[in-house]
Amino acid sequence: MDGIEALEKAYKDDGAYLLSVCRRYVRDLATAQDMFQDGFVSAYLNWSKFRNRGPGSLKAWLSRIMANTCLMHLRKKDPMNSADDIGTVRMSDLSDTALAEGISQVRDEDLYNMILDLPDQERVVLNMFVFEGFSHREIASALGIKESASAMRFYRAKAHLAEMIKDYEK
Amino acid sequence: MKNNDIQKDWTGLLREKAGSYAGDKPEMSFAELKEKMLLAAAGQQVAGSASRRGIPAWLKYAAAVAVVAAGGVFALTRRPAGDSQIAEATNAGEEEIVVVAREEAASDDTSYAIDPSGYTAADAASSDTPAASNASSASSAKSSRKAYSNQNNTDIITEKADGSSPAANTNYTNSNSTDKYVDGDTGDSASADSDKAADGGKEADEAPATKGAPAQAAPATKSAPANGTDPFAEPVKPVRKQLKKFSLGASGFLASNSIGNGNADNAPKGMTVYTDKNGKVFYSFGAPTARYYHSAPVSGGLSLRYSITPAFFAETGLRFTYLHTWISPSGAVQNLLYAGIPVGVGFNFVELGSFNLYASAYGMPAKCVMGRTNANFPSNYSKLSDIPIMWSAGASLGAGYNITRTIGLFAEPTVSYYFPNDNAPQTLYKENPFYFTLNLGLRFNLN
Repeated sequence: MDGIEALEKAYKDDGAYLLSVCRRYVRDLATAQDMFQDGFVSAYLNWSKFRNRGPGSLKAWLSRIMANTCLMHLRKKDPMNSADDIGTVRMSDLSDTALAEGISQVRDEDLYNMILDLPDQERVVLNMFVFEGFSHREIASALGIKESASAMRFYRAKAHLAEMIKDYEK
Repeated sequence: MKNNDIQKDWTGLLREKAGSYAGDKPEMSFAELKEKMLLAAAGQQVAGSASRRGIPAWLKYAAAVAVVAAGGVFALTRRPAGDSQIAEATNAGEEEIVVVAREEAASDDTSYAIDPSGYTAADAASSDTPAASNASSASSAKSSRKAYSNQNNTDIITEKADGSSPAANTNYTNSNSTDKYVDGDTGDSASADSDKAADGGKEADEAPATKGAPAQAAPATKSAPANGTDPFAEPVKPVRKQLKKFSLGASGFLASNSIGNGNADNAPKGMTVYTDKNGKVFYSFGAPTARYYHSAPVSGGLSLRYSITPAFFAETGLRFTYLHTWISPSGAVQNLLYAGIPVGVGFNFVELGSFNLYASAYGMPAKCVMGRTNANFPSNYSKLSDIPIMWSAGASLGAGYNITRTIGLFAEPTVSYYFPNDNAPQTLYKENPFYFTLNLGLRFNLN
């Protein structure tokens, strides 16, 4: 199977998922569509770099490319290294256990939309940490911020998410 | 439950539920997407052929070899006219005037204008040059007066009162007016040579063949033409030869470009390589958006050149190269300082007054003598000795200009190739093995 065929299959099977990966980073649907196209073009141009390691590896590779494409776009549009406003951090009274329970109660689509509603900087860090599996050190290196700033943004994203889940339960 | 487990619990749950969510479908059909992909691929091929891929490596090799070979052939096939009759000075390290003589008869009253343009006796007599004027007047006074005009039109004159009193008055002046020989009647070392030459009772002078001139009646350096059948009927060309055995060069170079991006073909393992929508290649190392930027390498050093022959030389030295790399956007940096010992050979193929052109080729091992990275820079080295030696080879065409006899300027456009090594640090040379530089410097002649 050559690159075009494999990508066509991935487009049919995982196109919606890959677009949702883009939306998690850029939120705006039209921009996410652009990122999706650019991601596919990048994948085709670098097809020789893809190593098929079994089922799901193409989907994982493409989702990584989508994330990279979106991060590049975000960095151009709005640098990620703007100063963190520590004063706006709000403490959540929701424990990790309660948060996990709350997440399990929320529908997948609503949870997805909650993530989209997070501020850009927090959403990007949350995405990279939770969905891409990066450490704070790696996120800091990628975004040009301090490791502590990455952890802070993650904490704030978590607090925001906890609040939204709390509101959702009401 | 430990904190980590709790966190894994809620993040894992979030990943499971929101991560697998597939919402809206893409607007663009795959047929349209395919068209875009094919167009981008075509654009990348065009852009790649013009920049990143550039000239094929074999063609660059061939060009470098051809330049060196052509220069070598030129140097080997270039011989001074009448070199079998060259009276060549042998004192190494001194600037000599070598005179080419022709064995053809000429009248006694002949003026000789010797200059690089190759005046013949007749030319000189008929010209308006001071040398010619002097010669003509000397001839009319029945004296055997011989005038030599060197490169600066300063006359070198031998004058003889009459045929029976050879070398009565000999006056030599060279271009720098440093050697002046006046009147050889008694005791004067300069004229003594002339006197000795005249001892045979002939009317004409015998040339005092100083500094290794051949025994035949050819005048040599700083000497007058000497016999009745004058050897100077043909153009007489002085050939200036400089044989500076040792010269010391101090140089640095200007790089051809200042920033290098990742090259997909040389991406180290563990990197993700991808391109943006314009087909530009990017690296991702550890973090998905990292890009490597390489500042222009800064290089400088000393070289020692040994002239094996007037044309060929060998060269070695010590060269330091500073390589600075940083990762965007994290700002992680890597600074490396390499010390290399270039060993090369070359040849001069054009010498025109103070200018000369030469070609050379070299090989150089370079060892990293200082290396620093900050915490965020991905590095596989814990100590300097882990960093492998960087090997390179190159060819250059150089142009030199001697400001004085001891100091000269030179410029050497150089094509270098840095041999790939997967274990080498991420540097500009690793990404762009072929590199063009302009080496500029001063050269000091030690002799």
